[in-house]
Amino acid sequence: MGQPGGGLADGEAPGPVAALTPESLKAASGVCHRVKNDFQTITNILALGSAHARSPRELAEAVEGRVVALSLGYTLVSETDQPPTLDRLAQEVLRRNLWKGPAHPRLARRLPSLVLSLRLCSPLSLWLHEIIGNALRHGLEQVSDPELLLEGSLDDQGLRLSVTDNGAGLPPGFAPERDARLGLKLAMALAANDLRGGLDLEDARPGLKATLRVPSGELARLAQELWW
Amino acid sequence: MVSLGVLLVEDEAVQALALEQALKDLGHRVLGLAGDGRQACELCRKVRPDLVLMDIGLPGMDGIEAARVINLERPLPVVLITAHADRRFLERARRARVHSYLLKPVEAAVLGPAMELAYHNFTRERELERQVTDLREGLRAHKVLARAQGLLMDRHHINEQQAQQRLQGMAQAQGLELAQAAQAVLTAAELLDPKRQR
Repeated sequence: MGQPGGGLADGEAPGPVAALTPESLKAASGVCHRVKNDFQTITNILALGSAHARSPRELAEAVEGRVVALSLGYTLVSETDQPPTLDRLAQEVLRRNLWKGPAHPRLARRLPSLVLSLRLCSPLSLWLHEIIGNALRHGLEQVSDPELLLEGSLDDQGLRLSVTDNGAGLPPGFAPERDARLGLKLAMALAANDLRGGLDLEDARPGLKATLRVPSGELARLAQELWW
Repeated sequence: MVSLGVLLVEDEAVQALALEQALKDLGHRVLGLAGDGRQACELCRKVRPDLVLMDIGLPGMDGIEAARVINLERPLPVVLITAHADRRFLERARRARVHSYLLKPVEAAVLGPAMELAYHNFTRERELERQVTDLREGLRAHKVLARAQGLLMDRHHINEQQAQQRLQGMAQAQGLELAQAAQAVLTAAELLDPKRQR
């Protein structure tokens, strides 16, 4: 006989799993599936980091940043009991990246109201992490009055999300397909594969504007998976 | 180790980049990256890879259906990767002529031998299929030759060697293969057969 409040009496074995309702089992199975997928993603992030990092410290920092980005959606849901919005996610990615430095730009956010599904949240979080991290580390580090603008739009064409800095911009002759390092490669692959859209890099004179395009059909498809 | 030109089909960015890196580390070349089954079929026609490494869970057409379409158009060794050890997937994969089936997470130490074996088994399979086709063709030609010789022996009351010499002479005079000459004799005999005149 179980204790009041669900605890077990001395010597009592845990109750059978079958005591759970079919709905609870389905939800538990869904959670396990997500956990398994995320562990696989972490394994891949480690493998990719190992192949590209120039030192153990660089590897540790890169992997930590990406794993934190991957966890942000879950963190926000557990803190608020609500699905995260794009604005809240962007705010959190910014906070985690700015904390590490090296640049501390003036910030502006003009993002559309968009509630994120699980399938949208993870790739968007990683994409924002890579692009914002690149802007802070490579674009704005040497700039005296650094600025970072996050803006977006949502219409029948889909979602457009831009990160613009007033930093050094891309080196002359830079070809993303040929010259991108792991972070930008990952951002391009997330845009093309997970979000079935694209990433545009434009000279912002001065600085760089990186824009993610997610087509409306894909946005609708990815919005279907609920958090619980 | 053989360096293969690989078409990689994976819809998750991090997994795709990790597999691309593993393939490069194994000495293979990634000729293209597709994010769904339909794109995989299109890229197969375009880049003509030696092998296809493909996830099963893809948006739209899944990896097994894409493997079936690819193998209908131009057979290739296909190695599937999946998160699900499901018997139904395995059965469908077998029918789609998939050469290997790996469970995620896929390590390079497992991927390399699986790809190499899939490629060599596919090559050997194709060679055996070619040999079977040649043997079937040879057997068919032998049967035609034997029937034509038998016909000539009956009509002209000659022996087997004489019948063969006549066929050889005919083939030489008309610039035909021996089997073609034999087929011409059979066709002519059939046309001239009074039973077929009606």
